[in-house]
Amino acid sequence: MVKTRRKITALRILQVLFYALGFPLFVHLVILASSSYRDSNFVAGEILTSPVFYAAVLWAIVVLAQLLFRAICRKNRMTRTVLVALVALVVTVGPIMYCDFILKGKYNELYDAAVADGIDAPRYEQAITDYDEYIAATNDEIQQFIDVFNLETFASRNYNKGGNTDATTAGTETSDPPYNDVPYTIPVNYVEEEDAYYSPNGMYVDGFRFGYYAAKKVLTDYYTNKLAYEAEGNDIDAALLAAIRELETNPSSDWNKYKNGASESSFAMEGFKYIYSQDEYDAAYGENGTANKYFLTKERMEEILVEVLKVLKGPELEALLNNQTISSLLPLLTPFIGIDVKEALQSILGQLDPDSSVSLVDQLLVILNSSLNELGLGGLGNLIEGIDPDQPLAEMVFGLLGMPLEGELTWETLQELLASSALSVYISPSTYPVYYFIEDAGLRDYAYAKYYATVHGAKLGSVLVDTAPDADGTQYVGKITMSSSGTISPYTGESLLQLFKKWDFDEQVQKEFYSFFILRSVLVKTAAAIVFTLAAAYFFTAQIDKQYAKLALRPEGGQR
Amino acid sequence: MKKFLKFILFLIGFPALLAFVVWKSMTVLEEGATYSFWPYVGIILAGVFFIAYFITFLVTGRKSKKNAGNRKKVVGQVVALVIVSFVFTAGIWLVVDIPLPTILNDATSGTVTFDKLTEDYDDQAEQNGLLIDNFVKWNYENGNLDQSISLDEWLERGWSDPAVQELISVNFKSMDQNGYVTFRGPWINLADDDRLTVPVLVHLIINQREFNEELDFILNYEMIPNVLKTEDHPEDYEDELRPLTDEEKEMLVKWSILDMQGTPMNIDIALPDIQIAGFSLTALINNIINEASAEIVPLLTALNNAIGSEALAGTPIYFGIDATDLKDGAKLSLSISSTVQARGMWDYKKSAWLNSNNLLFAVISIFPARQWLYIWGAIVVFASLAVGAIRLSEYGGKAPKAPADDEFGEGNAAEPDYAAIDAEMTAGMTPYEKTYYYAYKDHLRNNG
Repeated sequence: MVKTRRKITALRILQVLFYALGFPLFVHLVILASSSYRDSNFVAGEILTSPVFYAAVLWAIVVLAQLLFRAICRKNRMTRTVLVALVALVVTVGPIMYCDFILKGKYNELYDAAVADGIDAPRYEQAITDYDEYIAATNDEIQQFIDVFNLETFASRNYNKGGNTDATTAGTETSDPPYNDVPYTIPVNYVEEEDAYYSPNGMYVDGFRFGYYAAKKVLTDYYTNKLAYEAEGNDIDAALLAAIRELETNPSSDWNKYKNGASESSFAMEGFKYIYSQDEYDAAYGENGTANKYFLTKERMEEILVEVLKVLKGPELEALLNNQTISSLLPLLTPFIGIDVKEALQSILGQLDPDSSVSLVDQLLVILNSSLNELGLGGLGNLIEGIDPDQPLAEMVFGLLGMPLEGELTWETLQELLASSALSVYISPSTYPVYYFIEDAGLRDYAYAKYYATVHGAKLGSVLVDTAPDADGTQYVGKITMSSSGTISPYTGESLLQLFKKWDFDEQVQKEFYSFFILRSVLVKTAAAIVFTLAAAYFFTAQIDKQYAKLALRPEGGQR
Repeated sequence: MKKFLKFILFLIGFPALLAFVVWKSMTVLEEGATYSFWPYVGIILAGVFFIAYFITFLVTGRKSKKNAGNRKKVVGQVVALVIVSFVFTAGIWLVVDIPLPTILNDATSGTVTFDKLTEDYDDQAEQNGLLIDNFVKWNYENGNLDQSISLDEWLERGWSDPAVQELISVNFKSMDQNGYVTFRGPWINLADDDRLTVPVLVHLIINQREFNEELDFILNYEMIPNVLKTEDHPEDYEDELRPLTDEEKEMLVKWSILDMQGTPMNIDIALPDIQIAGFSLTALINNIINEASAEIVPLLTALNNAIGSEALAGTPIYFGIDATDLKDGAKLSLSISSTVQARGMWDYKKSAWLNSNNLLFAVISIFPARQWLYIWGAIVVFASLAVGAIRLSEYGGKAPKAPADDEFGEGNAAEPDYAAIDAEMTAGMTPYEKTYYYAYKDHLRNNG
């Protein structure tokens, strides 16, 4: 009897061991094989299409079949074993056949298109064996992209609420409602496919830090259009400036109509609709406008100038200028910058009158306009790299602003300069920007992309495009903050567009094929073993039952 | 002998654990020495657990003695002791560890993390100790704390002095309500998240804010910043304190974004290697700084006052020139510093910590206890089991003989002793009843 018990114990161990060598081992191997896959951001969180889930489903099918056959064939153990083995065979070999006879064709279609696009894509046979390598390489490439542009994570983030990315609560809070006295929160629209948070005006919200998809979209819009213009020998930035200038200077342009609150039917743009109402622009930028407290308005500038002028007209500056050393050193600068610093300073300060009825800003603009036309860059060009010493100052400044040379600096143009350098700019979420009214779709996309890549990106510390690259084309992008000067971009426009194509291909194959490829590669090695070990487990179960049958019941005493 | 062995086993169990907890809490106790009972919370907790265990130890010992001979009851006491030893060491923490990270994260707005504290609690205790020490030092220097008492004496009093507690609470409230909460939108979040860009800084300075005019701030003297640091005069502040006028004391204290960040910014100005009229630029600037410092300092001071005016930042931001390295490294930097040190405050995050430092010390003090309740827990459980074994041998009476060498005789200790059960149950039954009983039991036992 002891012998029988020992046999039963040994058979039980074998039964469990063989069962574990079947599906449990298979699932474990799939978990191991999919480590790079799980690290991939494209498929993160997609549990229902992951190879591990598929593997578990296969196992579950066999378990269900086992239960079913146990109920159906209660007596015939051999039939049960054969039927379960058959089911195991189908679920293990089936996916391999599915890959090789159905998925292969679909994959090859994508592959041919990718190769035609110049993408270095793996052939089917390579993909089904070296999938781990390909996924890991793509993961590394995307991580570098995230690092270079200081995206931090693959997913985007809305900084309007401290780390809270719930779309329904992440609005830009404002205690100054746009149209009435009810406290108002500007709604935010989260678009899942783009992983982006939008304001009512269709732009990214103020605190939006690009994720992978948004950064890719912005850079695609930027470089596709820029390169298309370049291919035809045109300068897209000049075209954009001209388009904006036209919208601003033409009194009957849609932009000016919008600012003036014209009726919707009068717009040249088809189907134009105000976001809220006809006076939305005025509500944001007019007197006591809601947007005014977020940027340097003319009134604010005036207040600052008053304070600064007090200091500059005070005795302290005069004392400094009269200091013996300074007095003797200042004339040394004259040959370099072409003016007598002390004299010029005193002249400018003399002309500025805080008590005048003309605002200090306007007084300063008059002085600036007259000086701009008189001054060349002179000696400054010798000091600062990249500046042509013979270029007149006016030409440089107006060039930057895209203004005609004979034009005049106004407060608006100065504001544009502040805006384009990202120093002081605020587009109200409840008004359209000027870009909205650009007619040419490509140019419009470019305008938005440029704003996001340079101005919005500069605000958030995720600069996507350096508008003033070094002479050798070196671009500083990404984390440009008070304490960091950014990363040298390893990409060119062309290389980025090519990478995006490759990543789009990778994303599609990872989402549609790689789960099966991983499953296939493990199944190829384990299909036969699974069928064998499952049958063996059944065999040992039968053996155990046989041994139990040898244990006879005693009439009395509880032995079983 | 057995008594002695039990005593030793008891000692290496919970009492030794308690000793480890006290030993590992020394840094926390030293750093939080002025925070009354708060840094002792961890030890108190371990002590309470010890008392619970000790009571169980005594009660089970006594019950075992009382039930001497009844093996079943004595075993029950052993099991109770072992379970209590586990529950009050590692067991409780396995449960507490589930919500604790979230609680800690919420309580400190994510600035102190569970992972940081689990092993590195000494470092956190030192940081928190520094918070109060430097706070006292700065407020002594700026005249907020009575200077007729020595700084060492103030440091010794620390948080336990009501004047210090009032300073922390009143001044933090101002920094919070008229500082942090006045910054709107994404800008403050960006600055907090290492994304303080120039545009964000501009926004944080020029965006209009709303203030609470009612809030007080304790400040009696002004520390005058050194706006022109040179090799001979590299100090951050002038030696003299300027008493504030009554009017100045009444003025609303506001806080700039730089105060929230605390640390000064130094922007290096790389001087090009050029010659002007035969002099190098470095030499010229050096000359200007030496010869015109009497004029430069008032100009910079006037500029800083203008920046502090309502039209600009509304609160002082100190712009200065740092020329300490000018001679050697040809380096000149523009320094932009906040008012926090002059006002006797840390940056916002640390000020917030300081404001609830007593609670933080209580939280930190739990971690050495937690760590050693986990580690030594295994030994306490083992020691309890060993004590139990000795008790069993003392009071358990004779162990039942091993079953005869039949088919259940080997390796089946876990199998219920059906023979004994059946014998007990069938005692006094008629043969018919017995037959029915066996038929029924066999059916049950065979079918699960």
